Amino acid sequence: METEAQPPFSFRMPVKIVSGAGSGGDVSAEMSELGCRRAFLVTDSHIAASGPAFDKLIKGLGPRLAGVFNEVTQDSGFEIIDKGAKMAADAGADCVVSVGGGSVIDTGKGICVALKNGGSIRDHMGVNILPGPQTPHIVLPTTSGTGSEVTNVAVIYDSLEKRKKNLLDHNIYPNTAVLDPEFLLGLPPPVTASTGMDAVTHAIEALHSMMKNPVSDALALQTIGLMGRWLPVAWAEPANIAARGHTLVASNLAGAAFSNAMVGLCHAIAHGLGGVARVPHGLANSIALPHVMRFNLEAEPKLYDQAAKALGLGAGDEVADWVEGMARRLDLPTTLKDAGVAEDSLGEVAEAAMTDGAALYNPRPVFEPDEIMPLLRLIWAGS
Amino acid sequence: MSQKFPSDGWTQSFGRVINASADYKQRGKNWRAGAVSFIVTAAPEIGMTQDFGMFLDLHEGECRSARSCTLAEAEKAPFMIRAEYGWWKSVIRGSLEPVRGLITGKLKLKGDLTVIVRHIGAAKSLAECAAQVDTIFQDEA
Repeated sequence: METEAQPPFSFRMPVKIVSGAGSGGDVSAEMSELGCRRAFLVTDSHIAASGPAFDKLIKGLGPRLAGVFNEVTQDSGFEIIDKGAKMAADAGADCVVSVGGGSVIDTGKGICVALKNGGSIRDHMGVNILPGPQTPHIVLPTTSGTGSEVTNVAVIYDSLEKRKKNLLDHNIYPNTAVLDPEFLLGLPPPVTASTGMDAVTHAIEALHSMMKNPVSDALALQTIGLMGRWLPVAWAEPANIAARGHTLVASNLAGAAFSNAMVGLCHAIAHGLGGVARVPHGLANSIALPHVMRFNLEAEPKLYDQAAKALGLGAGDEVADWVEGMARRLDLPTTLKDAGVAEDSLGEVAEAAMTDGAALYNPRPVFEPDEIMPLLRLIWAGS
Repeated sequence: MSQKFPSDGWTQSFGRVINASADYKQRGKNWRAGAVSFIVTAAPEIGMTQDFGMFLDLHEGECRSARSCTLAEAEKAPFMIRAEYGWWKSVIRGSLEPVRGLITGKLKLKGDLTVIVRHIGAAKSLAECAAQVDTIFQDEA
């Protein structure tokens, strides 16, 4: 008699998803559904000058556009959020529309909190302390990677302490995610590659996390199947709207998966690399992931069998090779050395990684920086 | 001596158990991030009509003071963890790991999560100390 029971789990996903080419032109209708009339648009200067999809969005918003804040930088910080929130308040905004990648979306989440509660976003940092729904937030991702449009986390850079901090709260899930692949048509191949590998990492880490569950597994497996098929196409053919659409949906599914299952050691290391060596998040994940998978396999040999089956591979250990092969195919560096990281910074990266909550959910437990130094040296030099 | 949870007596006993713990002395030796406060939210169904605050002044593996406190005092601590009575009971009984409780929204943290994570060993040791307090739960008294 089979007796292995499914462990208890919960799964949360309160975000409405709207998908389709041209859907960005209908944001005004989504605002109406949320009871909003004045949108504060958060983006960066590159996207604001990016062309037809953005123009269509602006035209669709018409007189409901209360203001545009295009000063978001790669790792958005407290000061930028506070500045945006003040501008939104001065403009009389009653909702935020974020158009961009992870930094823009997380800045939008921070602005929603500061706009609703007043004061600086610094005053509201914590875990699940917000008292209720925040300023309504509509998100249009412009990369196929972050998945932040369906997560309850905002990663915010503290320039004083030179590290990233997390605002984690069930009340910062955006209300609506609009997946319009037209926003991705101008994305350069290197960015398509690194952000796509970020989504692959979300999926793999959701599959190996200690918080994994059947719903997140289903979403993660669908993600790696879609990314395996379409990410190389989107990279090679930037204007392929079908490939952009599939990868955008894939990153969204991965976001929903990891916001429930959480991520693991790879993300902890990537966050450390971002803070210490300024390695872009997707690239850091792409480089570290296959090594972290092999590290985990030493403790749990069957860990990736499910993923191997979904990818049509023979055994779980081939999935790490598949990830590394995908990165090579996308012309990404596969070692930290090649990415320009100084070897003598690895100790600091290890320290930073061990302050990251993601490490807690890794299937092979690690607690001290020394425990991951051999792994970091391997990620730096390559196998 | 058994102490009712939550109460000032329970909080003081908790402090004594922490200071008697060689494990916490070791795992908490690098904690220099300041005091931690705990709030048990009101539970009228068991006769707790108001939130109850506890204040622990923790430093380098030692609990310099442990006492009940007002909500205003609790707010001043660099780290304030708030939860319903039932979730605290789960933490004390060892069925809810504190950081998992935070991530799943059962425990709510005001403060920097990354600092707590860096000192996860100390946090787990504190939970183990709480389990060693001779406790009478208010709803079972």
